[in-house]
Formats: sequence, structure tokens, C-alpha cells
Amino acid sequence: MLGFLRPDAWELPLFLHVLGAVVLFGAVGSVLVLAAASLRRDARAAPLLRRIAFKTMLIAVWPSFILMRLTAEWIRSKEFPSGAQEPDWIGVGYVVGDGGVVVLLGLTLCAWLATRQKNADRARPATATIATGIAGFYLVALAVAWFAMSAKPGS
Amino acid sequence: MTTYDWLLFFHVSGAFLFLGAAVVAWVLGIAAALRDRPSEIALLMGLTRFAGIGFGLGTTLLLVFGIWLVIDLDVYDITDGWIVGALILFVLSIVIGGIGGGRDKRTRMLALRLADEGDTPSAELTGAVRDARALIYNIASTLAGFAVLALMIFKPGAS
Repeated sequence: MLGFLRPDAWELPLFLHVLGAVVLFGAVGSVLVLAAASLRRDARAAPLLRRIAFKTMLIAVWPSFILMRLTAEWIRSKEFPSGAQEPDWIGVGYVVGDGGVVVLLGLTLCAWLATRQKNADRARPATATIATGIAGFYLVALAVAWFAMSAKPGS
Repeated sequence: MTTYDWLLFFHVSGAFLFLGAAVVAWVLGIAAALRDRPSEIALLMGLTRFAGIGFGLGTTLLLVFGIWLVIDLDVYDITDGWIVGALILFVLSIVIGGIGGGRDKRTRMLALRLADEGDTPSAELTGAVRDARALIYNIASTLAGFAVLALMIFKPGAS
């Protein structure tokens, strides 16, 4: 039921935008699962989980974020051409989208630093804990964005 | 906000949970297929239980609020071609995904057993975790899920 009453020309950018957002949600969810699991595993298993979390950032999170963000701009240009009044819910999308660059950079940095923690005495490095928190926070932010995009409060 | 807005939000939430869970399952499945040690394969495949939670919750939200939306909106009918097609593809996605998931579960059980018996790489486990038939099931299930998303947006045949 997505895209109720939209012109045909908006459908491809909308599909690609939602596709990117859905894959981004799943990819960040994967990082959350891996990073959180690494905090509860023995010293041998934890580094493997952290390595996979970092690779997931590079292979899945960033490409899907770029797809989501570029197609967001594409559909915005069709739905609200220059000069058209933009509703408030678009602003929520910008906060989560553009603000997401900073959040994901922080998450990538923490995930990378966590992979470099080789000290077996430190089974739960702070960077892995922070990465888990950032991933959880961004999942909530994405949920707020899809609430704004679908329910369009205030419009 | 109208009833339609809320129904759409919960329906979209179902789509994010269902398809997001598929991404989680793929990330963990690919990571497991690239490992040889049974304990590592068992660990990664065991984490797919979180994807299972997403599938369950997403399926419920998608179906309940999707059908509610069709009833709430006069412009669409449950017998519209694109809605029937979406329902068929969604059921196929769940059924085929269930078959693939069953094979993955057997692979995980094998990995757990081998992990307890010395945790040395085994050709049987490597073959199971990289099984082409399970891969085909999982690809087909995922494609069917994303095809539903495409139908929801493009709505072929809708006025």
C-alpha cells in the first residue's frame, strides 16, 4: 500500500529510496546484532564478530545509505520542485539522512577500532560497546524517519 | 493524522522488519559460508534467530495492516490483480524461505555437533553451509519479498 495516489514518474525513485532504506535498516540491524553478540562471547569468538560487523559497515551499510540518500533527493526534486513549499516531515528525513552521515561515520570508526582490540584481557572493549549503542540509536532514528515519511504528521 | 496514516505506518513498519530481517539473515548466512570452523559457523547461524523475530513480527504487521488498509480504502479491492499477486508472492516468500531456513537449521545442528567433537573443519559441513539448493531457496524467497515491495509501489493495473 506504499505510494498511495502518486504520479507514475515518482514510482521508480520511490522504489529505489525505500529499497535503500530497507536494506540500510537491515544492514545496521546486522551490525547491532554482531556488535552486541561480541560483548557476550569468549575472547576467541568476539574478534570474529567485530570483524564481520566492520565489513558489514563497508559492504552493506554505506552503499545502501548512499542509495537511500541519493534517491531521496531524486524524489524530492519531483515532488517538491524548486520553490515549492516543503512540509515539516521532509525535515525529519533530512535530519536522519544528513545527520546519518555523522552517526554512521562514528559507527564505522568505532567498529574499526573494535576490530583492532587484540588484548584478550579486554573482552568487552569500549569501542564495541559504543558501536552497539550507536547502531541501536540509528535504528530508532530510521524508525522515526519512516514514521515521518509514511504517516506524514502535520501535513 | 487519519486512520489511513496510522495503518500505513504500521504496514510500512512490517515491510521494514520483514525485509530488514532478510538482510540480517543474508549478512550472517554469507559470513557463515565463508568460515570453516564448526564453532564459528554455529555461532553465526545461531544469530539468525534475531532475523526470525523480525520475520515473525514483520509478517504479522504486513498482513494485518495491509488487509486493513485495503478494507479502509474504497479505491482498492482485495481482488485487484496487484494485491492478489502481492499476497501470492508474499506467501511464496514465506514458504520458500521456510524451506531454506529448515536446511540452514540442519546445518547449524551439524555445526554444533562437530564443534563439540573437536571443532575441526569438515567437508560435510562446508558442503552444507555452501549448499547450492539452500542458496537458491534463499535467493528466491528474498526476490519474492522484494517483488512484493515493487508491486506495492508500482501497483500495475491500478487506476
